[in-house]
Amino acid sequence: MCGFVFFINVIYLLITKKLNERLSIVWLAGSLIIFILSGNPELLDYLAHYIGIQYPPSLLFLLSTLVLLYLVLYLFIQISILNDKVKELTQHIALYHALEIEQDEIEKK
Amino acid sequence: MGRFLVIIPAYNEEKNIGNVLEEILDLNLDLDILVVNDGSTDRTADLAKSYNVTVLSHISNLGYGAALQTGYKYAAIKKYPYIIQFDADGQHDPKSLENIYNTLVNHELDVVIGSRFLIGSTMYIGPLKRFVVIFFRMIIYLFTGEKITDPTSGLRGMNFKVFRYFSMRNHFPTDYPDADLLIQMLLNNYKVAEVPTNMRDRVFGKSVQHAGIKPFFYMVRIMLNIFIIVVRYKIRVWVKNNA
Repeated sequence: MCGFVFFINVIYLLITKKLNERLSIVWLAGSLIIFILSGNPELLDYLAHYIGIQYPPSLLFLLSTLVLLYLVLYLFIQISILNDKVKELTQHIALYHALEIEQDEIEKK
Repeated sequence: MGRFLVIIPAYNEEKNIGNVLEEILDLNLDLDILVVNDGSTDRTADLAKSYNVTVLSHISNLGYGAALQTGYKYAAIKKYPYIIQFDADGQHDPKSLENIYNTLVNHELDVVIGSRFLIGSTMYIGPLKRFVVIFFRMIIYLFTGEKITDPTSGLRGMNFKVFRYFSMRNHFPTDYPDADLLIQMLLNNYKVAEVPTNMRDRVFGKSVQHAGIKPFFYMVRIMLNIFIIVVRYKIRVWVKNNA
């Protein structure tokens, strides 16, 4: 149920263009994993047993923490890229504006 | 076009910028002045425009390094042979400009730094600042074997080769281009020298970089930048040797 609501929510955000396609893939995949795991809890038991974890839900917590950590890191990378783009853009506008004014003054003369 | 361009990054310096520009213009040197207004919320840009100087304005505040880099980009587009960066807070003495320019040209240097430690400067230097300076002197010596007396000096002259390199994307630290940048210059084999300059206490306001607990973060960030620069350099050397 939780996975289904999540999946619908992501689709809704995509349709209303509040989330871009590239970033939505992560969330769609996440909701799909929640969907699969909640429908087949024995899958988690099997995985936990295979890795050697005695209490299966702790595997779920471990995986969710790792995924969230990676997502935060990914967002920090995106912030850094955006910061750089904003800097370049701001510098470009300032330069372009000043050079345009200089050109106008030359033409007036 | 003047013999060189003076780049003055300014952020909320309405009380100082007028005096700084007047002092430089009064010297009647053959130079051009560029004020990079870094998203100031006061009248810095308007005041600067009332003088015979070029004013570039960032629409938002990007930081000291980014403002300098905009100046480098402008100078590279206009093909100035030399630039000298100068602070807008009145700490730098305009009389040093000619000396820095002459040293750059006559000795065919790439970078000339105005150092307040080579002569008795009239500027008061607190114990914390003194500690930061000594610390970075040691770091620079450790990584490059060069002795730089004033690693935090913002008064620097450069030739076209150097500022064009730093005007490129990802070639310049946008927050604090101090000791880390000097190490990068020295590792790039640029010819760097220092000339004695007088520096004065700022007349109005407080420095943004050296107030409160900021010196601590300043040191940590510069150390991180130095680490990245040195690792990149080592990788470059390793690749070159093993190619």
